[in-house]
Formats: sequence, structure tokens, C-alpha cells
Amino acid sequence: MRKHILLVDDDDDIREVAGISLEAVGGWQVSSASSGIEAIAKAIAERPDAILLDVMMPGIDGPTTFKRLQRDPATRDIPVILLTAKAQSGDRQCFETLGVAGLLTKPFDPMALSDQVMAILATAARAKYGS
Amino acid sequence: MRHVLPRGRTLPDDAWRKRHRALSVLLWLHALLLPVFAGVQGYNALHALGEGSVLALIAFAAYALRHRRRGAATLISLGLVTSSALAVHISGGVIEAHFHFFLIIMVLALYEDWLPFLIAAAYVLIHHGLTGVLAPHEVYNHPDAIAHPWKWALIHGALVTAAGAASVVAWRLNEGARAEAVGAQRDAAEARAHLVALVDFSGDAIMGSAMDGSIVSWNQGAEKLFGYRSDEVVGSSVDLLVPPDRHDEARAVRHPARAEGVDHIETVWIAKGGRPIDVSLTISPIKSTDGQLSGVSTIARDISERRRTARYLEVQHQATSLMAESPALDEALHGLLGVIGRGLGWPVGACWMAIADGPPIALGCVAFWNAEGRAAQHLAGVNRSMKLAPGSGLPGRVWESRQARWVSDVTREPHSHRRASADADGLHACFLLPVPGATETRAVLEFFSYEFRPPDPALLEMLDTLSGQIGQFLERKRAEEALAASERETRQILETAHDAFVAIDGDGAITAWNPQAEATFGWACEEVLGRDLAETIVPEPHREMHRRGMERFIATGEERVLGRLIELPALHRDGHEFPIELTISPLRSEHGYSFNAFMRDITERKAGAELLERQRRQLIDAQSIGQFGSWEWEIAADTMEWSDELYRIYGLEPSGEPINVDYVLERVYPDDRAAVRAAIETAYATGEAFSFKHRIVRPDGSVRVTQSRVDVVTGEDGTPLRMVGTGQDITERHEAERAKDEFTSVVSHELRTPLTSIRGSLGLLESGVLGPLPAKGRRVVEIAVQNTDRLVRLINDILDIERIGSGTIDVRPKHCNAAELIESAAEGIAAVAAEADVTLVLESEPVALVADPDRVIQTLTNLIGNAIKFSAAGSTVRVCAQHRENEVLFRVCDEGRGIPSDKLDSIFGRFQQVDASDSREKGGTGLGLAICRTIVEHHGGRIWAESRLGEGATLSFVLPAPSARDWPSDDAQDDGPLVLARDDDAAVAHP
Repeated sequence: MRKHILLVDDDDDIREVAGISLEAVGGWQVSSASSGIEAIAKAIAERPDAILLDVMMPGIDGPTTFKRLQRDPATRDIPVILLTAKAQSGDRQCFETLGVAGLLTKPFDPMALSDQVMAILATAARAKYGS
Repeated sequence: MRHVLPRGRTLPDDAWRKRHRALSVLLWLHALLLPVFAGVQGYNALHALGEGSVLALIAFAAYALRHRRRGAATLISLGLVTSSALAVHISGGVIEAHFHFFLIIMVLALYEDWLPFLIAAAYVLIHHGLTGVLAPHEVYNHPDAIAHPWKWALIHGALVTAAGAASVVAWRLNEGARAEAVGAQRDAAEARAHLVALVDFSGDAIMGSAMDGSIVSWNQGAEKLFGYRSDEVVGSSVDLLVPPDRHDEARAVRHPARAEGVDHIETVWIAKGGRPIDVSLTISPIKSTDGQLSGVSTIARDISERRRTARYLEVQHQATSLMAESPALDEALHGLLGVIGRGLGWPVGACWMAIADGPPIALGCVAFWNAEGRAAQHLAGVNRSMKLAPGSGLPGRVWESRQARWVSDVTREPHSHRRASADADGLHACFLLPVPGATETRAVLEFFSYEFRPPDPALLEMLDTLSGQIGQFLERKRAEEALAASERETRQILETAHDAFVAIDGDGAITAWNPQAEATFGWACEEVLGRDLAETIVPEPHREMHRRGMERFIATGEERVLGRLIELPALHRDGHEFPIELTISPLRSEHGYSFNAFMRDITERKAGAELLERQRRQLIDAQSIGQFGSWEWEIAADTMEWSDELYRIYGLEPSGEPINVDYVLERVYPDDRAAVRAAIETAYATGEAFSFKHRIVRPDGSVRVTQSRVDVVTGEDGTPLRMVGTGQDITERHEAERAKDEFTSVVSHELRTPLTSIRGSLGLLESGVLGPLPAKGRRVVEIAVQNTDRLVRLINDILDIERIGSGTIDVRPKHCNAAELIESAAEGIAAVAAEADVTLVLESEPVALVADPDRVIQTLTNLIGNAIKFSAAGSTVRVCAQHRENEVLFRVCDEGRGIPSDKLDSIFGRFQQVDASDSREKGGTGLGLAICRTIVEHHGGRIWAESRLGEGATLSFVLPAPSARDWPSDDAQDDGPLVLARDDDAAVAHP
């Protein structure tokens, strides 16, 4: 069974390119959302294996969406990877302290994106369950 | 009866003893001869011996009682009567009884005592009567007597009585004549004894001298007065006693022939040992019985006491006169020593006083006097050089005990420091006199003599009064000198005072004007004394006010300006006015008021104050314009002073009330208080300057952002004493920076978002996942991918350099290992190296350092990437790190084309490349080395390049190797940014 990833970004182009990349290169089952609210609803409904979440979005932003997902027992355990155009180390530090599984920066290499997601999930799983 | 009958007592002992001895011999003869006579008469031997024995017994008893004249005389009398009676009896009356009468009368005559006579007479009468009656023939040869015994007994008794009476009469007659002769002799003897006693025991010395001046008699008084025994002087010349310089005064004694009646003189004679004695002489001629002059008698009386009293009174008079003249102290002391020494005959004197008031007190010889003629130079020298402590040496002991002391011979004084010098000068006796002050000894006077002198308590007693007067004099002199010194000191103070001193009398006339007043007002002292003060230094418009003020004070005592510091304009001699500061104090005396004033020209001070005020206003204006205030905090007292602008920044009104750190912290935004407090504590602990941003809340609730800069002022021991600092309102700048950051962030996001889609799309196309592309198509996509990546790098670099350059970068120092940092960087770039066929050689040793690892890795990545970029395939890039003194050196060496020497510095500038074509060919942004330099410099290090063209290049940077105390603790690492020591935005939580 293919792994299911929820891709959240307000930019339609990125959502599409990233979706293609994950499906074509990594073989993921990809569903997508264009806002934080939609992402939360889909996460509850679809229970994806991972969520790739954009940081800067209108409405509720990525970190806020993450915090809400964390508050809901149904979505609390879904690993979330933030995808951000804010690549400075200060931002990175700030996001890492939220407790996300990992952080990927824009622009990404579509051929490496899936591998990077997998690596982050594996690391997070090790951290959570031990090796 | 007593006076009529002889009692034997008047008989001298010698005469009585002679007579008694004669009668005793007579009795003993009777005792020896009577037995012989008895034997001749035919008595038996026993009877004869018995009668002899009776007489011998009586004679012996009389001998035994020889010291009791009456008893012995009575026994002899009885013995002789008994003997005569026995003789009559043995002779059978041949020896006539009249024989008794002779014996009895002899007894009376010889013993001159009626008692033995009476007993013998009674015995004869009784014996005669009884024997005459009982055996008359044994007693009387006369027949009538035998016939009428009582008649004869009475006749015998009457005869005996008559003989006794005649004896008494004869005795009385003899006694009167003898008593008269004895009385005359006794009177003469008594008169002689009286005379001798008078002469011998007279209190006066009495001597007799012959015509040749030799002494012929010398009484006890003379012995006592002159010290010579009689046998020492009798026969000597009276010159022994007369001093050579007084021979004329006593010529009658030395040459009696010149005596003219009785002469009285007072002079000085010499006693044994050379001691002079004041004497009064009464010289009388002695004439022989024929009226010829045979010598003189001289009565000498000791008048030393009287003369000494007179001398002492004279000394006291002179001393009092001297002290009354009140000369200088040293002159007075020398004069007093002379007056006492000369007047009392002590030729050397000295005065000891405290020369250091101590403690400890030191005594020194402040005056030395020496009679003319003989100098006690050794003692003078020693006295001048000697310092004594109380209790030490004779003067010190007298000083301490306050008791006068007499030393008969100072050369034998065991504890005297000056024994040798006194000996060398020939001095012997000395006395020391304490001069008492009110509470303590004021001085010690000592006097020396060239003679030995026995203690003379009377002299010391007399001088006691004088020393008291001298003590009072010294007290007075001391007070006078203290007053004089005080006046000198006051005068000196006034003369050297920095202030002008001016005194005026109640009429306003100047009475004192010190040199500073001369300098201040341009008038010489002699010019202004007596001048009116108002006319001299008060500017014309103020003179009336000045005069009215003085008159008001004198009339009412109302003080408006007196005793206070006031400022007034004053007038210089050259006519210019200038400001002065003065205090005036009134002084009331019996002559009325006078006024003293201290004045100071404050022209310069006022100018300085005005300049200071101008500068203060400029500072206030500058602070206001720059919107920064200043403060100063006294740490120990916890008091702060703020400038007006700082109050304005905090939205407060300067209240003038003291403020402290808590006052400040209360106005700091609550979220920032802990950080501000921690910053202050860190500064206190390290003593290092720092700056930080924090927010404050104004009373109206508005929040402002301030930038504070603090410097710590420490004491010599490094203890922080106070902190000084500035506070600047940077709210607007902070908002602008925030806006810029936000803009940068938005730009970054907005540029990256489309780039993400483009790069992703191109990547998918290039990868062939979406289907194969024709060759040219692939090439075009490849070009598009490369340029997209370059654009991304450019955006990243621009953002990086902007943030680092503006100081908004995070630098998070941690414990690092240089080798690990190099490995991380090499790992990240290994793929690039492999692609370029460049070998990476890592030669680092494990070197510890404190740095932001991300930033160091970013720098190393940049440098290694550059090295790979400019290295030919197959070449090697070496990376190493090593510890050098106080720093860690990183080196990245390549074997590429090298860097021209003129570019070695410029390559670290922005958009600088060795060759302009590099950015296109190598894909660089021209910002990498600029970022490296910024990061290294942010760490306090430096970066440089070394190269020779064609031989590769070495880019090196060093980071400081911190000492142990600079290493952040583990807590610090976890706490995040050390923002407070840097102008770091992260210190501010965005409101």
C-alpha cells in the first residue's frame, strides 16, 4: 500500500509540482490542501502518513495549523514536515522548536524531495520509537 | 634644836672619815690593851678576853656601818664609853671616871653630832648612877662620893652636860666661822663654774686671743660654729678663720694692740673645710690685773640664718622684679638662674623644661647660667646635648616626683648621667627645685656648687615659695606665647589666605587689609588703612545701601547679610567692577562694633559657571535632538541621577526625588525585566561595558523601545563603584528595522515561491520523469535549471549578507571541535568535489573552540566550494585546522590558478571576483567571500588570502580561542542567544 502524504500550500503551482514529484519520483499517494483549515479537515478525514505543510499561508499559517493538529488526538501523531521559503537559520530554529518532524526549504529539488521526506520521517520515527 | 645641835651632816666626808678612822683606831687599841690590862690587874684570861672581844665586836660593827655616819659614830661612842667604864672597873677606880668626859667630848667634838654624844652621855649617867649606888668604891675614890653616890652622880651628870653644852657652844662658834669660809669658797667655785658654763655652753662662739693673734681659748660654741676642736686651734693664728679678703674687717682680732674698745662688726669667716659663715663679732680687749692689754676676747655669733633670710628676700625681690619686666622666656630663665645663683652663692645653674610636649615628654636644658670667673663647660656641654624623659636623671626624677632634691656631692650620685662632667668641672653639691605649673611640673631648676654642702632643708623651704612664683610666671609666659603664636598664626593665615580679608571699625574705616585684598582690589595696605571702605571698594550705586545696612545693624542688631555667603559687585582701584563673594561677621568689643569680611573675586568662577551652564544647555539640547538621555548610578548607595531627556523618554517629569534601580525596573516592560536585571548583574560581575535594547512602559501605557549603553566604573581593586550610561529612544528605528526585516522576509518568500515552481518543473522535465525530451530541449532545460539554482543562491546570499551586515544575524557560540566542523563542511560538499574530480584532504587535528558551528561550516563550505571551483580535475584541496596561540587557524589550500596579488584583499568585497567572467563560468554570486569575512569578523576573527599566480591559493581565517572563563556554560548554550552583549534584534520580543 502506498504511503499517503497530505501536501498543504496556498500556491497552486507548487502544490502541483510537488505533487507530481512525490507521486512520480517517490510513488506517494498525494492529497493536497490550499489552506490550514482545509489541511486540518483533510488530515482528520484522510489520516495521511505525513503532512508536508507550507509555513506562510493566508488565514492560519503553517505553525498555527501544526499546533491545531497537535491539539487533536486524531491528528496528533501524524508527522508534519514544514516547507518554507524562510531559509535563515533563525527561522529554522524557531520552527524546529515547534516539534515538527523536519523542515524543507523552497525551492526544492523535485528529484530529491521524496528522498528528503523519507529521510526526515525515518529520523522522526527513530526519535519517537527508538531504533 | 636641829639648828642648835650639830648633826654631823655639815662635816665634809673626808674630814669625817679621818676622824672616824682615828676614833676607830682608838677603840681597837682599847680592845687590844684592855685584856692585857685586865691580866696585869689579876683578872683571869677568860674574863680579860671577854671584855676585849666585846670591844672588838663593837669596833667591827662600827666598821661595817662606816657608810652610815650616825650609826658608826654611835657605835664608836658606845665602844669608847664602855671601854672607859671597863678600864675604871678593872683599875678598881684607879683610873678616874673623868676619863669618860674626855672621851665623850672628843666624840662630840670629832663627830660634830649630838646623837652619839647624847647616847654616850646617857650611858655614862646611867652607868655612873647605878654603879655609884651599887658599888661606889668602884667608881669614886672620894669618900663623900662613896657616901653620897647620887649626889656625885648628879655632879658628874651636870659636868658631862655642861661639858656637852660647852662643846655645843664651841661647835656652834666653830661651825659659823667654818661655814662662812666654806660658803665663800663654794661661792667662788660656783661663780667660776657658772662662768665656765656660761662660756662653754654659750650659743655663741667665744675665743680669746693673745697679743700676737694666736688663739688662747676656744669654747664649745666656737667648736660648734667653726668645726675645729679646741686642741686643733689653740695656739694657731686667727688668720685660720679670717678670709684673706676680709683681713681688714677683723684687724682688732688679729692685732689686739689695735683694739679700740669694744668693737662690733658683721663679716664672713671660714669654718673648717672652707665653708663661709656669716658671723657677727663682738671684740673686747682683755686687760691684766695691772690694767695692761693682754689680748682680746671675741664673741662670734652665727648670723647665717639672718643673712640668708635677707639674701633670700633680696633674691625674691630681684626675681619678682625680673618677672614683672616680663622679658622673653629664655632671657627670663637665664636672668632667674643668675639672680638665684648669685644671690644664694650657687655659681652654676640650669633650667630644664619640656621641649616636646609628647607623649612622650622630653626634657631639655633650656637655660644655663654660670657665675663669672669659672666656667662649668663640661656640664654646660652635656646639658645642651642631653634629652631626658621624666623619671630619668636628676632633673627627670625631680620633674616626676615634684619634690626638691639635695645632693651633697653629685660626683658620688650613683644614677646621675652627668657625674663625670660635674667631676670634670669640679662641681659637688647641687640642689634641684621643681617649678610647679597648674597641673603639672613646668620646669626644674638646678644649681651647683664647687663645694660639698650638707642638705639645707631651710633653703629648699624658702625657695619653695619662689618656685611657685616662677611657676605662675612660666604659666603666664606660656599663655602669652601661645596667644602670640596664635596671633602670628592668624596673621599668617590671613596674609596667605586665598581670600581677601578686610576689617573695618564701626565707622566703616578699614583696619585690616591682607595681601590678597591688595591683589583683589588694587590698593596697597598702607594706602587703605583708615580709609572709608565704601569709598574704596563699594561701587557708587551701592554705597548708600552699604552705609544704611551698617547703621541699621549698629542701631538695631538686625542682621540681613551678616554671617551669610553673599554675592555683590565690588570696585577695583582701576575703576572696573567685578563680582565678589563675601561673608561678613560682626565683632562686638568694649570699643563698639567692628566687622571682618572674607571676600573672593568670583569673576572667573562666574564665567566658568556661565560656560558650564551654556554647555549644560547644549547637552540638554543635544540629548533632546538625539533622543537620548544619560544616567549615573551610585551602586553602593543605590541612587541614580537622570538627565532631563531620559525623564522625557520615560514619559516622566523630573521630580528631583532620588531614584534607584527598582524605580527603573518598574518602568521596564514586564517581559524584559528579567533580561535587564540579568544584564546589570552580568555587568556588575564582569565590570565590562555592554549595551542592550529593551522596552519601557510609559505612564500613559505606551511602549517604547530603548537602546541602553552602559559603562562600569570600578575602584582600584576592581570593585564596581558606579555605572554610567545612556538611554536612547529607538522606537522609530526599531520599527523601521522591523519593517525592513519583514520586507526582506516577504521578498524572500515572494521570490522563492515562483522559483520553487520553476525549479521544480524544470527539475521534473530534466529528470525525464515526465517523459523524454529532445537533446536540445534537455540542454535548454539544463541551462534553465543551472540559472535557476544560481538565482536561488544569489537570493540566499543577498539575504544572508544583508542580515549579517545589518547585525541581525544570529551568532550562537557553542563548544565545537574544529575537526568536526571541517568534516561536516567537507561532507556537505563531497558530491561537488567528486563531480569536479577534486580530492579533499582533511588534515585537521581536534582543536576546541567556541563558535557558531552553522556559521563556521557555512564559511568552510564557501571556501572549500571556491577551492574546488577553481581547481583542475585531479587536483587536491587541503583543509586543516590547528591551534595557535590564543586562536584557531583554518586553512583551505588549492592547487588552482591562484589569485593575483592585487586581488588578495578585494576578493572579500561584495560582488568581487578575480575575473569578471567567473560569475558566469563558475556560477558564483560574488558574495561568498564577503559573507565569509562578515561571519569571521562577527566572531572576532580575521580572514585573508595568500597566493602566487599559477601555484594555487590558500585562504585562511582565524577565530579567537577563548580562555576557559569565556566558555559559555552548558546552560548558556541551551538558553539561546547571548543577545544582551550585542545589538541583536533577538533581544527584543516584538510587541
